[in-house]
Amino acid sequence: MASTIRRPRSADIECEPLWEKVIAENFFGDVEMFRVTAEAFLENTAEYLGGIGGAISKGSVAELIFAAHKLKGALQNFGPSTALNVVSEIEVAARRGQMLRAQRFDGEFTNIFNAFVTQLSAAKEAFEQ
Amino acid sequence: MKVLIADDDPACRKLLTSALKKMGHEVQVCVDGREALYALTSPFAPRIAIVDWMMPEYSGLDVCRKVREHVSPIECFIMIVTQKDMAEDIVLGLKSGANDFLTKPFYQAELEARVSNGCKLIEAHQQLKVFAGLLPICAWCKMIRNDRGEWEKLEQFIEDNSHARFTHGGCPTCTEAALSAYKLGIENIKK
Repeated sequence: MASTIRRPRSADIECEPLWEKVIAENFFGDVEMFRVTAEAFLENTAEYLGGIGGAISKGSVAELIFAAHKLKGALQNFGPSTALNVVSEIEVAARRGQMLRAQRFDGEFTNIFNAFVTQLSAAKEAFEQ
Repeated sequence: MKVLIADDDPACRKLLTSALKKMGHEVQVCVDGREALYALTSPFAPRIAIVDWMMPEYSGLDVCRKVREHVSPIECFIMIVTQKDMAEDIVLGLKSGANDFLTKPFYQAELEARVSNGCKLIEAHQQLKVFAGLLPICAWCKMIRNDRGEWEKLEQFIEDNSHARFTHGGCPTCTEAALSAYKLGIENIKK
């Protein structure tokens, strides 16, 4: 249900994730490791979103499970909880064959994902300096 | 040691590649299950593999099953990467031939420990293989030819290739023979 999702508030989007913590925990404290991984992620954002959107337009449950699961795995490296919650909901809906429900989450997810991409991009640039 | 990474997600590939190189491993990267299967069954296949569960072409489970048709778990240490942590999924993975599991996101200490366990198993197996093949030994002096083509004492060869160490004593037959020779020598001197 949509009510089970922690809705993004502007405060969430501004303050999460805490990059130093993410780098320490998920990138072994290595800024360069974070930077190259973020770069690879950012280069593939269209593919990540397109995978989910394409599967929903085709009505393909199998493709949607695959695309949502993949994106969830990629996002887990960076730990944005709001985006992870929503993409998890899409995956769960797909696994239950609830394509309409997944479609409803997709619109919301695109905005959250794009906000996260902006944050990640800024963080990557900040750590390059 | 050379480690194979199979993951269709570019960000995860980059992360694992960087982490493993930082640990001092050589890395071979595959972008799907089919490529991983080909690499793991080739003559110079990496002995450690980190394979994503969900991949196009063949899943991580498919790769494990197919690799195990040719290569045993002590010859190639396969870890499956999953976001799933349900006990039944782990059982399914292990039954398909995986040696171990990794979950996302990766934690340095866990990744290091699991890869290190794999390396230890492979190295132990390689050590055992030294004693499993044909060893050229001199029929007269019992010197043995090592893998560098040099002849060395049998005991030295075994010490170099195992954890065994020799203490020197005498068996009853040789002790008796040595004593007899000694007594004969004394008698000859007396004469």
